[in-house]
Amino acid sequence: MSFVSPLFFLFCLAVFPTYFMLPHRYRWVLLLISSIVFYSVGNGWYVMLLLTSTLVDYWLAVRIDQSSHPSRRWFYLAISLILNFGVIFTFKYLDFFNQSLASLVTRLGYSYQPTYLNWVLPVGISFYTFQEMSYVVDVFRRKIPAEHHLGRYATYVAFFPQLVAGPIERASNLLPQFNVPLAFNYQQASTGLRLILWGFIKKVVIADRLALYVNAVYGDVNGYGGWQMILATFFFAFQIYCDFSGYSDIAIGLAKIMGFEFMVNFRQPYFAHSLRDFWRRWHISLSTWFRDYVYFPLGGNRVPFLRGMLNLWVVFLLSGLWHGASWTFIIWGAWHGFIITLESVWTRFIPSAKTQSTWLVYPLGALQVLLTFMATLIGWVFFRAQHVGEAFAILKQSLQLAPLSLNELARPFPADEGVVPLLHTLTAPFHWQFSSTELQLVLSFVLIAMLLIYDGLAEYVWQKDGRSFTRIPLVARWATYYVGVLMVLFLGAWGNQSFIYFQF
Amino acid sequence: MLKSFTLRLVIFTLPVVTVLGMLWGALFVSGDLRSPLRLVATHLQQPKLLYAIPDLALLDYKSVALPLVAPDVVAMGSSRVLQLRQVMFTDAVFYNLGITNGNMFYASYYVEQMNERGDYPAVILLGVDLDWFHPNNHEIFYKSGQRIGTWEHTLTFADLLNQTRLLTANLLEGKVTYGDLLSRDASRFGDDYLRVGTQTLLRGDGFRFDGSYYYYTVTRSADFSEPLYALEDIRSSNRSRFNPATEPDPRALEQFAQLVATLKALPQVTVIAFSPPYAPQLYDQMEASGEYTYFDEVRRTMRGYEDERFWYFDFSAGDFDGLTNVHYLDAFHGSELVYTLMLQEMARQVPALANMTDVDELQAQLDQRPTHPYAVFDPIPLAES
Repeated sequence: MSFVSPLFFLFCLAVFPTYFMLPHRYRWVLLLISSIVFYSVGNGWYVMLLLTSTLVDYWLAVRIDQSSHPSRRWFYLAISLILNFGVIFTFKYLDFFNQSLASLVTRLGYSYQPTYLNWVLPVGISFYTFQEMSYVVDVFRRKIPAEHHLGRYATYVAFFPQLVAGPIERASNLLPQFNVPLAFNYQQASTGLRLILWGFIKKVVIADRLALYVNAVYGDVNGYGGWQMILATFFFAFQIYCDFSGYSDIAIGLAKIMGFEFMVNFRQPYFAHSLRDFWRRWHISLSTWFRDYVYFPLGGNRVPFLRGMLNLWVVFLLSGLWHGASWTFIIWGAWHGFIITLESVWTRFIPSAKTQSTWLVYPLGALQVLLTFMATLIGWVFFRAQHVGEAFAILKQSLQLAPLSLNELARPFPADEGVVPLLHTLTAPFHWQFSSTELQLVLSFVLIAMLLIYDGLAEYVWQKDGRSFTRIPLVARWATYYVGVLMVLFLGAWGNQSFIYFQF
Repeated sequence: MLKSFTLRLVIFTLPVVTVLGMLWGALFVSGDLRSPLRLVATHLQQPKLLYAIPDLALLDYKSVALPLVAPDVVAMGSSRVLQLRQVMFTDAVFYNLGITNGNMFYASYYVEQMNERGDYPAVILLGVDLDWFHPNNHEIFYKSGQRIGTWEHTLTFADLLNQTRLLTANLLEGKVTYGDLLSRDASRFGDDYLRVGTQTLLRGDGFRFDGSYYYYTVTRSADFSEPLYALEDIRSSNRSRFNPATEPDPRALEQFAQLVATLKALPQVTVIAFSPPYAPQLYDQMEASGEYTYFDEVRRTMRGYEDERFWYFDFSAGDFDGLTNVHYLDAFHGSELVYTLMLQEMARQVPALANMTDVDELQAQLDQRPTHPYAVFDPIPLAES
């Protein structure tokens, strides 16, 4: 079930009132049943995979917890890791592995014709499997005790707000919250609703609008020129940010209404000063997962410099592979690894030019933000392209720039998009002579500007003086909410209910 | 605390729900939310009814209507074939399957449906737009073709919101009043058609019971002086249709070859393919530019398929029987007059079609047609006067 569907609205209308009417001891039952229903819609029998995986990890974690013998504890941990990785490998990577192997073998002059499974990837498998693995490892490390209540553990794994696209919650944060009675908190619930509204704006109004342009250009690479390629990649950077962080905002908001606190998953990533900084702000639940369960165990940066770099590359290649079974994702990860390596070399070997003149700090900072954003843009080309050859073709084409009219630049937008008549009406008083596609282009830039202003306020204003949205006068606040709701209903590019990260 | 929160939430949502309720109420009353099945049933009972429903539901509407009408002659193609009407066929039941942005994938879809039912018309008039074969268009057509069959016989939430936006825009611009929508008052259009759907109530245009389209607005405001078209302007405003090319897309040719093979395999069906006309002066400019040589290859391919059950007519020049720009609704949509003349020409040459319409009767209608540049048959609302 998608968050942006009428069915989910009805689902919430049924679940939330019931949740607050139930005494604490029965709430997990409601949450578990509703989570299974949520997952079953559109995923059918894959719910059995989720339940089996939950049951196995629950049992193994209890065995690890109860056992004092190190070798037994290692044994149970190994079973858990093998099973979890085995499931992901089979569903997500086996065909890719076979395809790559066949390609390699053919190049060597031999023949290998594998049988492909062509299985549909269960939605959210990378998210809930990683969540379960982190739980088992934490129990093994004795950071947390094993959860002995199967129902509560299953609710932790299947909790519907974060089941299919995260945040990948740690058991140490989320599991205890199922064990304590969570009273309704007015402030928390209204913050939750605000986040949900903002998430909807990001997803339906911004991401899905930009997707119209991006999908047209990336779907017909030969049909468009350099400027359109650059703009499509620029739009994709914001599309994927709004699509994914919009989902996270809705998930966090839904949880907040019920009294749960999830970890922050995005923190203004396009204001990062370096790619290393970017990863402290982008998909934080995944980057910290790799930090805690891969990077640190490998030694982190408390090893010789070259070994530390190798550790980084391992993390980024795995992170790329986590996103999908394709060489494009691996190259995307490698690109990030490469840039962060350059950053590390720079900071280690080039003495930092500390300037006393404060006036240089801001332009230099802005330049760093810009360069970091451009580095991510190159990465997004690989992330979005269908295959590696296409990614390089797009990069090459992006360098072939010829003068272009506004109309030609806007051409990838569909002229008959549903929002066009309303845009013409709303802009009529200004007597603009924009065509349907040009109006959509203008709207897209306005939406991106709005997003950057919001993120800029969150980055530079709201954090520093602690001002929050609640200090705005009630009338202004409600007016803002109404504008937001009207934007979602009237400016949203409805029709695409899927989120990009569902496929991972 | 929970009660206070719920109360505030209800107070907050009340205005939104009220506005949406009013808009959706208007859509419901005016007929936009009717299912295609119900619309078809209404339409078959009330031939004097025009409707306009969201584009996405149009394919469903026509596929539902086709078996119920069980026509002897069908027309397939894009919006350019929509002026072919039942009144032109004196001796047969006709249905127009043309739809906006229709292409060869849509035609294939309808042919598949006929095959599934084992129920065929005697004649298929297939309007083949030359730009179906432009290299830039194949991908777009292919993608839209992929969606065929995934559409349901109901409106989606996205369709509903699109209709809501359109309605809001029209209300804000004062093109229609809320009262007109609720009362479904169409008296201002000055004809005796009932109208279903906000767009019909707003503009007067709509689909007739035979699947053809009635351009009320354009017809009513027809310019009796010769309109002039500049190719450059038309190109920039309708790029997909007027993009130049030297060669047709081989993928499109292959796709069309499959369609022809399927059509030729239909039992005892005569297929009459034709290239719909452009406004003559515009076509002359396209020819003079020398940039549309892919047209010639498409025509050659079409002629290569000709046999006793597959005919091809090329009307693309648009200047037959003394027609000029004035007889065209716009640069690439011929009027009812244009299509009557085309039908007459095809019926003179194709015996199967001659059985379905009376060429002399068509001529009699043409001889006594009104002075309006588009009109041949009733009812045509002439100028306000």
